[in-house]
Amino acid sequence: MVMKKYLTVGAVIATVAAVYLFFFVDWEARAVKKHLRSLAEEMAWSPGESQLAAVTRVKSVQDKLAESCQIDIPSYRIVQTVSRKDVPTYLTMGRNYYKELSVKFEDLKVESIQLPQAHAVTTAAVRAFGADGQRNDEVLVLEFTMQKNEKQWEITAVKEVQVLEK
Amino acid sequence: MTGDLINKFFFPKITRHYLLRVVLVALVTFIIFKYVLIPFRIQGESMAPTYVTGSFNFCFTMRYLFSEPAPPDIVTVRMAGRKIMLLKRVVATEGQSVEFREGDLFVDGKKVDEPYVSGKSKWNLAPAVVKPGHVYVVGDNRSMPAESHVFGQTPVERIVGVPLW
Repeated sequence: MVMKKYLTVGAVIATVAAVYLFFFVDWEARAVKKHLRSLAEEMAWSPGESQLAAVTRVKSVQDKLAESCQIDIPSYRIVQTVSRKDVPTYLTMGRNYYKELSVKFEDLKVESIQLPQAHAVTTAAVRAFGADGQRNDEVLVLEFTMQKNEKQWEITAVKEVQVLEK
Repeated sequence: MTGDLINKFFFPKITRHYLLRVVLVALVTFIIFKYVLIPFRIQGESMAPTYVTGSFNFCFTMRYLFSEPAPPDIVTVRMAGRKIMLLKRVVATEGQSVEFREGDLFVDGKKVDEPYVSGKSKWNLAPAVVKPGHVYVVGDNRSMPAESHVFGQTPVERIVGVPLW
């Protein structure tokens, strides 16, 4: 009798959890967030980093971008279309300019998903040390446009949102 | 008697009423510190000497429930969300013209007395009219070149609140 009671309670909890996961969790939004968080993790380097780790990171960033990605970040004077194959060149330039860099996405929100497209916005906190050792931190709002291509999200555009307009 | 009270305070009887009180206090605390008094730590020198880096404060979000931001209020401006905000001073409201001449601030063509500003650099900025529904915000520390200082107009909806002290 007691066993039956426990089984019933367990079944009710499992059903509620299944219903919640099926109807209330936005899996696409979670995938978009995961993709962007992973990008932020890979957009980091430090002086002691091995060559292999650097190459792996570059490859990972490359895989997250679409074949052609429009980047519009005036704070870093980057306003151009970047093709996937040029990513290593740009990242090498970045590594020469900043000896240490890390990016953290705060308040990451998926604004809209209309498959196959999604829009997400976040506050990017960039901590960087220039080649001369000078600290050069920046905080900016970024808007990402993403496209789903064969079950994989790809970034097609990154745009800086002006919070304060001079 | 006192010993009894202390004992009761530190080692209360775990009753249903006690648990209910704990849950209620936790809930109220969560709501207050998540939505009404948001704790924050200042990073950066843009509001020095009024607010210096490393200091701690709370953002009081209900300040503008029945009023609008006006000069010389100090406000927090949200970015994508409320985890990272900008701390700035309102210097002009919608429809006003803002201009910098040799480091001095002019609003509607009149020079503004700003005793709170430190280290004025010779900022020069052509007049800009504040758009409807916007306010113009600047930091108190103007010792750096204008290009390195984050300031300008922002929609009023971006203003989260004011620092508590």
